[in-house]
Amino acid sequence: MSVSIETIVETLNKHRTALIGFAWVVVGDAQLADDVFQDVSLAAIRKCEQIQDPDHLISWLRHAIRLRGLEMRRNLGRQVPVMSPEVLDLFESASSKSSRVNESDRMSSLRQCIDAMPDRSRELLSLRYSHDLKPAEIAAKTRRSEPAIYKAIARIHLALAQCVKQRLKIMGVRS
Amino acid sequence: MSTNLHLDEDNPLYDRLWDYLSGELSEEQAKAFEQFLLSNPQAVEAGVELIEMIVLTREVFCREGAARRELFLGDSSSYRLDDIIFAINAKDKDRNEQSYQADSFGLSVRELCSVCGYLFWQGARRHKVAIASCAATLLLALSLFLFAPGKQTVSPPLRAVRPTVPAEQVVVATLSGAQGARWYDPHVMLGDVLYAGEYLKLEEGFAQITTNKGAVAVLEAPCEIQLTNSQNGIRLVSGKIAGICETEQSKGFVVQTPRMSVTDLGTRFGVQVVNNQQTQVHVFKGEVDVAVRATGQSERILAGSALSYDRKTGFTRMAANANQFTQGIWLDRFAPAIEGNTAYWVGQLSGNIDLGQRESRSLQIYTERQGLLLERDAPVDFGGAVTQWPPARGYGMQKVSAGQSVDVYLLHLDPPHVNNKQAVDCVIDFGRPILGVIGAQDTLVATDEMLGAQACQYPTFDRTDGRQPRGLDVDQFMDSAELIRGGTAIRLSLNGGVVDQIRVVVESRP
Repeated sequence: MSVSIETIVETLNKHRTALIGFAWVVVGDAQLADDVFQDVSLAAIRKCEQIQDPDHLISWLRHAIRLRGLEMRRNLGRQVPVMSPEVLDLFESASSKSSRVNESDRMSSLRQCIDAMPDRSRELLSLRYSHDLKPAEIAAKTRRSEPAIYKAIARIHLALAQCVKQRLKIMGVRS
Repeated sequence: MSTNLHLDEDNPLYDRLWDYLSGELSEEQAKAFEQFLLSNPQAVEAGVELIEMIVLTREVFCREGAARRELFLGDSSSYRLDDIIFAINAKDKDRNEQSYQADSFGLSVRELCSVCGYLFWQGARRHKVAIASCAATLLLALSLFLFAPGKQTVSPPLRAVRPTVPAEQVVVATLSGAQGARWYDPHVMLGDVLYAGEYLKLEEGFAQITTNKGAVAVLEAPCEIQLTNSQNGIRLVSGKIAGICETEQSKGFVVQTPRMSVTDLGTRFGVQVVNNQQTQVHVFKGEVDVAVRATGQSERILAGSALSYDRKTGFTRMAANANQFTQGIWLDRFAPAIEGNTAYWVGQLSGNIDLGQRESRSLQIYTERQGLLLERDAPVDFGGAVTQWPPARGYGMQKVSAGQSVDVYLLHLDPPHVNNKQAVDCVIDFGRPILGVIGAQDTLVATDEMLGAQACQYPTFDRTDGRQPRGLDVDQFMDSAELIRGGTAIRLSLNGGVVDQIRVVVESRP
């Protein structure tokens, strides 16, 4: 018995954020994490005949992300992570727990939180991600220092994480 | 010291986690942090939760701006197979900078064709997109097959999402106080370190900035300032500030206005910039030098005097108007002068000061009591003739005599987790005689009721496990404290690890 391509796509959809997050933990870089996820997604499609069921698929995906991520770091000349296998196991386990959160609930809460943010915070994230500006460029554009931009973005992320957690709690969803 | 595993702005767990993931910790630090993670799996969960939130946020905003957003349907976060194919295509187009050996994850033409076949088979509503994607994929795959067998390339090394503060950024001051403050930037927080070049706009209330040299600038809204490269200066763009420079080290504090430089010579003064044209300087104590940058013309202003400068009319002398700056200058008359950016003034202590409740990487300074008349002798660890920690005569052997009127301060350092040996080096100048300092666990506990803030919850202490959750620790962490400047200031060198608390008893202000 093997999984269909539809099942793979469905599983990738369902666990996408957790998988990219785990990839980020392994490679330490958001864009590189996207690359890892894309590679592994396609590899899963390629190997669909060898994957037995959705549970097998999800554990295979995490394992593949781990191997691919470490390999990518090595190939890009980065120092192999100092992370011990035991700690990586912990992250993998935490990532599997977070996968249980309904993705659309989380996304919908996040959108509400983003809507409720002060305009200036939203503008900052928009400059950072929609316009793909580097913090130094944002700093120049907004007449603020680069460290202030770093701090502001970090705080916005923290505030959003807290807001989403709160909204999920109100909705009765475990976060 | 307790561990704060929650995500909040005062908890640098995420910073530490990121440093660890980015390989920025030394081997020894990384090992220590791994031990922390292994014994606190909740910390890992908190970190994963935050990272995933950043992934989602990034995606929401990326979709707004990226050209490929047209391929994502609706607001759902789901990927469709053609999205994946498109993403792979997009990545392949960038493959021109760096290469890696093809491996088990590499794609064959047959595999890509099979995916395209799936799309055709699916008869997607987005057939145009699918066809375009597949055509591009096939062409690319063919190119790879013909021209670069066995090799693939990936995009160049990528920027970090959570950047670190560049080494060249210099900390020049601390946001050391605030009262009803509302900033243009909603993320400015009390206790922030401030960097050279940083621009701040205060829209409401008051705020206090302490330079690395210990000069204090009190901002009164509306006010715009910029930190300069100086360790003891500030640029006043508009509005008014009050300057307080009462320590030897803080002398020479410079306020730059659009047209003038105002140099303090050890004093209290106020500066106001009106409409970018006129600058007023009022001196309440000591002396101030002012100089017009364009002409080099300079004047000295003495206490009780003021001077106004306008480009058209030049200097105009007048009497100092204390009311114009009173609110700013007397923001908190109990605030001591702080030298060094690892400590900041908070204000009156109230509520819970127990372990883990007010974690910070800086030393916090609170007022516990003001104008307290001692009804009996208060035990202290050192003070008077004994000026250094640890006290030679033993703990609690000194005393502040009954009948004295005192102000009491609590210095509190509770770094976020036990592996974070936060270093604090600072001088706190009270400008009045320090009558006694309490840095030992037992003396702190013994004086909580007598000298501590009322209705405040202090740390409890479990003697059974042998821990020293309060007070200075000279053996393990090499904490040191010394009275200087004739016993009116205290120099501290703390190394965190567990909570450090010090109670300082000073003579009341007249």
